[in-house]
Amino acid sequence: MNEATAVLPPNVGWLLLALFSALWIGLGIYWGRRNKSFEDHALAGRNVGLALGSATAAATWITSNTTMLAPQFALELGVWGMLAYTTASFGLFLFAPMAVRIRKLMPAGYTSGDFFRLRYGRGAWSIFMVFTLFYSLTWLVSMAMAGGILLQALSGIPYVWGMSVILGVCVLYTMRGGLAAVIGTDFIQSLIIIVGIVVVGFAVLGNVSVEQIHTNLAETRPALLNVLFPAAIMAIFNNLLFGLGEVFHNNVWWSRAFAMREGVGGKAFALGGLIWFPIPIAAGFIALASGALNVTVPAADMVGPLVVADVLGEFGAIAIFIVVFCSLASSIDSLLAATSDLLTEDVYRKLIRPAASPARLKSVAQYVTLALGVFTWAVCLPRIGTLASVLFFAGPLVGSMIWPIVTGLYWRSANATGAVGGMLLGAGAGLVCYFAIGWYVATVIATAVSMVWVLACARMSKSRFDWARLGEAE
Amino acid sequence: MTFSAGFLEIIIYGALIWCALTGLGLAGLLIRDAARGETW
Amino acid sequence: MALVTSPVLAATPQFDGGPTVSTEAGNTLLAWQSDGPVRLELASDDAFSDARVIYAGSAHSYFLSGLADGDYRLRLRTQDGGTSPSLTVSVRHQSLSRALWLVAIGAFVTLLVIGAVLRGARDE
Repeated sequence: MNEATAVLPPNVGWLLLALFSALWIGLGIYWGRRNKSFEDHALAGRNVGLALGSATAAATWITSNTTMLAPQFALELGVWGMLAYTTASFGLFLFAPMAVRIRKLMPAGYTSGDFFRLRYGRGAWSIFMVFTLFYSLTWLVSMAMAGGILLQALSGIPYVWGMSVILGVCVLYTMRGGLAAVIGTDFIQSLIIIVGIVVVGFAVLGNVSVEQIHTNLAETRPALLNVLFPAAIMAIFNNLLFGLGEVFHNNVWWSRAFAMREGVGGKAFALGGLIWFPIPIAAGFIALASGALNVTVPAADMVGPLVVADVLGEFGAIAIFIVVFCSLASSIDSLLAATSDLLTEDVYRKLIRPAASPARLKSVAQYVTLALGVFTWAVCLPRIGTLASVLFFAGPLVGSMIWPIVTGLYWRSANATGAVGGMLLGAGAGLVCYFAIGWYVATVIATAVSMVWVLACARMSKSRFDWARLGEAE
Repeated sequence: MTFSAGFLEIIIYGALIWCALTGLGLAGLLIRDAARGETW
Repeated sequence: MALVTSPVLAATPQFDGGPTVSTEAGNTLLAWQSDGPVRLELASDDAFSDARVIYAGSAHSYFLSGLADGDYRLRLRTQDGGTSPSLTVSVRHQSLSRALWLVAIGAFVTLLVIGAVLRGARDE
């Protein structure tokens, strides 16, 4: 990826960046005026409705990974690559009933950390905090970095500037507006992304038929059409379980479960999954068209924008720029908000200052958001490309948390020994397999090992958890 | 065994139409919520 | 890789890296050095008897993907006839039986997760 492939003049890039930055910050400040306490700031007053709830679930899950990595996946792993990617929506579908359960068991809860502490005690909570912070911070860093790299590739805006502006804008509106601003902007961003993908997709199909794409693939990249492509079919469940682990554990999703009005959570997550489901195919297939359209692909990670810009010219480049900017912002803001709430609630309030007033907590949350932004910026500044690949280590970590969470929510017999052992053994086994065999086995093995341990401990345990203890979170 | 052109056609057009419908549905849902005063 | 540095070959394009590349997923990023536009040719034998041009232009890299099992030969040619040393890409896809085993384990674990979530609380 280099400047030679820039598809938009820098001044157009800067103009778009300025317009959207002003829009998000303005909305953040406007919506932020509703927030009086930490509860308003962190959970938007626990009263989010179905439309905003569904959109925020989908938009947060549409990261730069979805709009950028889906084409790359299609180019590397073919038809199965796109289909494997769509399985990430299962995380949202399965979280739907869990969100209902979470709201019922913990009507006054704030974070997924609250759940781990109350359900399994401090030991399991500490491991959870290490895993989730590793995952959240690497995700945040990889997205801010991707943002800078993409803006540079699309419009020639220098990396440091693009990265700083995206991060700065998200920090500003998340600080000012809290979860309400995040959810409100998510709605607009998800509509823009969907419209962009549909318009671009049909425009590409106006230039090349599916028949032509298929013929070209069969001739030049036959493995992409192979139903038994080993690397691609291994990706299916690894991807699916990675997605489940991400959604089940992360406070990004738990904070939304707490923020939605009574009775809304289940439907909103299910609808979010339905909205998200077709996007990897709709955004990914354009990579498969690169051959038929005779577009050169000098690097796999730029295939989406290059095809679109080649076929649709400046209009396409502008559309891709906006879609990418929205998908980055809708995920960076959510991660900033949810991670700052986790640190404020689980570390500051529970460990340092239990008596802090609601207004004080709100301002702590704002400063934590700022600190996270500065930290991310400092890590992204040197542009160490290999950092983004660290995110793949997170697969075994999040996979190992699936069973402790599911059994912890539904089974009274699930216990701390099971949770602690499941997380450590699962993550350990998964990481060993990651290095010994390959990335594509890591999450599956981690989840399987953790499952065996958690189920065995629940089976042998005589203790029965009292659900009322989860309701103690205030 | 390979994926056929027909299958590719179905998933690509299916995904795009699905996206378009969910976009419309989402906008409709917001209007409904707003009319009932239930946005947030 | 032995680089011959005679003036005649100064304009000869060169692939980066060694003379062979092996891949388990049928894809690899090709990168090369050249002074001007090149044509990238792909063939299945050393003689390039069935050579096919897969790229023509001034870029210095190309992402090759979706190759079936086999050994492929690639070379770069310039307009004035300069030809690079050939590069062999050896594609050996991962074991299908291992892949299917992993799919089976993944499917089993996933079904149990779905079962546990849908079954819900059993002892309240």
